[in-house]
Amino acid sequence: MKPARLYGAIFAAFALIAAAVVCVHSPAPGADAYDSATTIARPGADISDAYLFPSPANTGNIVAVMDVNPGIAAGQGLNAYFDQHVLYQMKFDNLVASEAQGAAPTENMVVQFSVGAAGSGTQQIFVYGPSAPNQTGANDTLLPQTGSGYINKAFQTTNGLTVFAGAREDPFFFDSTQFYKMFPDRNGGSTAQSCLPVSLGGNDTCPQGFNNPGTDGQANANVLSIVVEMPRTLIMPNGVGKIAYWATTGTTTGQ
Amino acid sequence: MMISRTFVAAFAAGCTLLALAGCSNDPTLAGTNTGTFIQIDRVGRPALDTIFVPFAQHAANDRGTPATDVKVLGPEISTFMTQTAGRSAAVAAAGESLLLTHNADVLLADFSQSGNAGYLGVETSGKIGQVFGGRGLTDDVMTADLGIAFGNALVTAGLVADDGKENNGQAGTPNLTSAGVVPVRHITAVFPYLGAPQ
Repeated sequence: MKPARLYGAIFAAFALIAAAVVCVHSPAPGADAYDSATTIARPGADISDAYLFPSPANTGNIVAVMDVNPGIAAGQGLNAYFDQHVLYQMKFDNLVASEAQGAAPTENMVVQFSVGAAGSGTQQIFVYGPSAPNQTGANDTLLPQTGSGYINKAFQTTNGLTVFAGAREDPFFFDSTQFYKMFPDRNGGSTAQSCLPVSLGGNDTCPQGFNNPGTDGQANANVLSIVVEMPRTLIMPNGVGKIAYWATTGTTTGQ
Repeated sequence: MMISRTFVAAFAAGCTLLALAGCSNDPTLAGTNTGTFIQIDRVGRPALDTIFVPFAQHAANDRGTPATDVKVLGPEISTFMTQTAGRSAAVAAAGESLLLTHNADVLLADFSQSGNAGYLGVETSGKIGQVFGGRGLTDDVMTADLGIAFGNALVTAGLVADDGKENNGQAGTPNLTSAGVVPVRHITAVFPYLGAPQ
């Protein structure tokens, strides 16, 4: 093989390996990252964190966030795309305060997102809702579309949502490495022995527990974030009262 | 030679893009689908799975709904607190009750309140977090959750009497309540608020 071809083949192999590594991600998780075999195999559907907070820019607005695809390495954020086979959903129950005793929240307002095929550095984002879901529970169908835009660019929908879907610095922080040394069975079902004192079932190699200072396991890591800012009244009648929020992902195959 | 190099480089770049964008082989595009989507992941309160539930049981919670949380998550939280954390039955019950307020793993916010978000604020009337509740981008949620399991967060919030079984770095115990992380993040005051990718 000529040197040029040999170098090219080596480069090609390296590129494929690098891409595969990005797909399986680094071991630094978000709060709920890598939490099942299904989501490990499909990182684009792996929800690491959800946030809900008042808009810093407009007190009449609320901001909902769901982060997926955790552990995107530094410098790779703009090369990451949402999974085109996944339905992303923000679910709300604005009647949570009046649910019957013993009842659990049930979504009565949802915002859905899907994406187009990735290519040429871009990807189309589709928005549906917020409106009442077609059905409640773990199975879902698409609502009427209310807007669309592109990855890594903020856009507006016709019904008053400001949306960003794309790569962001992971805001979650935690000394996940030390945590998994102390509780290894939480790390993908590892059977390694805990480093905690013998009295806590460990081998006493970390009797101090967490270190101080600890290590920020998510420093310089990125996620794919879906960020929605909207008037509170879009998901809550009169814009006041208690609300429950949770995020979900789903596929037509359940895998 | 130039053609070969160009071809190989293009092939490598193409493979990279495919591998980065795909990571799946499901043939059905979500955006044009009129069928049913089956839930595979769900997140409400942060890290309940990560801290309180063994990995093998995560999928049941991921695929469940708030209506299944008391049955699926409740026993796991109780078991972790009594066996792993060594807490009393009363403290374990208080922890389970707090983390499953309204019988579910959801974030709770009170739009009637002004001020900033603060994890567990609604559940504790502001004794933990801020009264708005929800979850802010800078909330130290792991310290909050670990403080429930291993510290005196429940006692400080007035939810239960102290059982004296904390592992919080005091009196010669290991510190299992605070990870000692001082994060450097680039949160912004303008939309989308999360920092630019690193």
